[in-house]
Amino acid sequence: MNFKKQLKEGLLTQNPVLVQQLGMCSTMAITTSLSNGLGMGVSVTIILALSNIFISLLRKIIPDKIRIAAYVVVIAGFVTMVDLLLQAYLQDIAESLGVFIPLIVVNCIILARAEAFASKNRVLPSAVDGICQGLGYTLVLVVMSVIREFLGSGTFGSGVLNGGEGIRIFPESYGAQMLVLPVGGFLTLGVLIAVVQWMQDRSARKGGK
Amino acid sequence: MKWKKEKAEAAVEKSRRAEGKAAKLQLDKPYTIRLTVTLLGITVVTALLLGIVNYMTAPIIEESNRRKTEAAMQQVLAADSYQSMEGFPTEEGVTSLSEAISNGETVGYVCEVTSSGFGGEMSLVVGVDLNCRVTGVSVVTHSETKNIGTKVVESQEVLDRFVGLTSPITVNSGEENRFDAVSGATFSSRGVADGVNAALDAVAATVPVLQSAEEG
Amino acid sequence: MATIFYGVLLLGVLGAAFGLILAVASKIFEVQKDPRIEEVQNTLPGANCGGCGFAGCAACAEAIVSGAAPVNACPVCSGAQTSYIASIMGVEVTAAERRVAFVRCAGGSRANKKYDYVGIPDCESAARIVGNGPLSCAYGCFGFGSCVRACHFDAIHINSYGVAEVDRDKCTNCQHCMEVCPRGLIIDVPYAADVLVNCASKDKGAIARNKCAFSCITCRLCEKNCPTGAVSIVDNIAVIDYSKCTSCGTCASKCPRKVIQDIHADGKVVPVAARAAQ
Repeated sequence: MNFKKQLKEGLLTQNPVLVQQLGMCSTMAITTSLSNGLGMGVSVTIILALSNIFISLLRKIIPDKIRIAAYVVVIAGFVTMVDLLLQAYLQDIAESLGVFIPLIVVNCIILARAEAFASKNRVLPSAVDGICQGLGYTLVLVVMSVIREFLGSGTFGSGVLNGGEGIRIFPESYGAQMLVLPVGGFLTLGVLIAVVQWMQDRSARKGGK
Repeated sequence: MKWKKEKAEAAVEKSRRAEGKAAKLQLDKPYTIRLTVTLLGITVVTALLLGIVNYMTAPIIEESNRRKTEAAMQQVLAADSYQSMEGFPTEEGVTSLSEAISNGETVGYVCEVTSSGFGGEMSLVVGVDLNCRVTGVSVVTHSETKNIGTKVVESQEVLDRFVGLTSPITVNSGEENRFDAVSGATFSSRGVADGVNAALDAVAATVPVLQSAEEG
Repeated sequence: MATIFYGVLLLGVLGAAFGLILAVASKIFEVQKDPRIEEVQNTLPGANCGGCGFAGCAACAEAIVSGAAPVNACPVCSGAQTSYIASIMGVEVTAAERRVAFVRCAGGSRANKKYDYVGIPDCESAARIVGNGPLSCAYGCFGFGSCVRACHFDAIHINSYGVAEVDRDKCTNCQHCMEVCPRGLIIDVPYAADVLVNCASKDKGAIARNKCAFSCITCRLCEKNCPTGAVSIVDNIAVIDYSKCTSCGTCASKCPRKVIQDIHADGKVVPVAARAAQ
């Protein structure tokens, strides 16, 4: 288990959204403001790490045929716990994320990492993998939120900075409102994936020579 | 009689195949028990943990919701106390109906409604006076998009446009009781309007005095 | 407290019910699979390169277990892995001689050209252009790298002479490059072979000489001088039978065009194309 390698994989080379292309629907739907992106990213990271730890702990006990049912029960349990804790202590974020918190249960990233990694590795590497993949997901969310919010409504840090209003960079009427709508989500994500593919292509060619 | 013979032969084949299948179906007891018990164990432990977390957080959540709702009620129709009523129609998303009482007299009614906005469910508190007109609207919870839907649900100025209107409120059409949606936020606007209409209808249906006032 | 109790009861019943249903369902719908298939598949490298000729490692595992393929079907497996697969199948493994790919061309960018080719840098495309491609020689290497792209193991590259060259230590003999090369230039030779014929030209004499400075001109000196009769001329090109070759290097020293290379002559492995320049 190499922490640096797993971190690099989680953030870049095996980024769950941009490279593995998992969890895309929540990414596109949530990234309309910085607080949404951060809140969702942190929630998913916590749940990913916890579920990876517990599934790794139980990996020898869970028989093969019920493994999917077992994983989903564990993940759903943790999601519900996080949902309750958010509603109790961080209502604003809970409200903002709304229906997407329960949807974390079927976020492809969590089930995919459970199946591909946590079920075959020891607890500590699984925990690290959960955190690194979660950080990669959060990174994408934050980048997309900043881009969409800035170009779409002219603010930066909505929900987090300036008492929730965000710093206004240019008047709202100059913003491309389309970017804050679902269309913008698809477009921004598409462009980001293209950029990462190009970067990987370039480094592969460099390495190949 | 050819088809009868074919039918008989088919029946014999079928029973032979069923026998073969039954013979293969030997349930492996330890395997079955292991699957059942493992899944049972996982679900029981998860349910227990969830129960504990719920037990700890439920009072906090309820309290904060109650406070929010009360503040909203005060805002839409200020009164000394609110007494909840029974027997109101619940089809349109109305979750509660209360009488607003000040100095021992009923000054109006406060209604909690849920309706659908763009980003999901939102819950409103609507104040209705004795003439079945809106005294105020407050959005308690919502998931509308920042800077689009929030221009409706978080803007007191927009919500105040409902004051004085009575059922049926139409969006972007009609003369009387017209609410102009915020451009670009039609879903959110309609969601709020639907909720207000539901509240007005619920009050009218439940309070007999108001019903006769309308007819009169 | 009651909610906790009911919650645990409900979820517990659901869990037990589904566990039971799944247990029964997995038995009813069970597909009898030989457990050795999974064991073999886990031993295989999992690169799904297709070098065995099957559609991936899963298909190869099934073929090995069903007997359709020998235990050493996978060319990428190390000796230890192949022995383990053999032990799963309960057979003895015959140590297969290691073979690697070899590109039979020394000309490359030094060969004579019919015309300048400006187009897609792909060998298969170039070969279809007028006159069988831009080279005078109908059998030479274009150097556009289709084989390089086909290789899963990064074992073949275009060297400085514009000829594809195999890294013998990385090559696993999966034969993808051989399938891709439109000129059929690449063949497999034993890893241990150190005398190699570095040309594939079926032209003879003056024709061959005019097409490339490093071509075989079918002078037959190699064939005549080979002490074991391992070298023969087939279709105007020298071919070495490695079952007879003793690596004496006579043919290499006799070859006037330096087409036959003795790559371990001075104890070093020198890139074959580079030798042709000396």
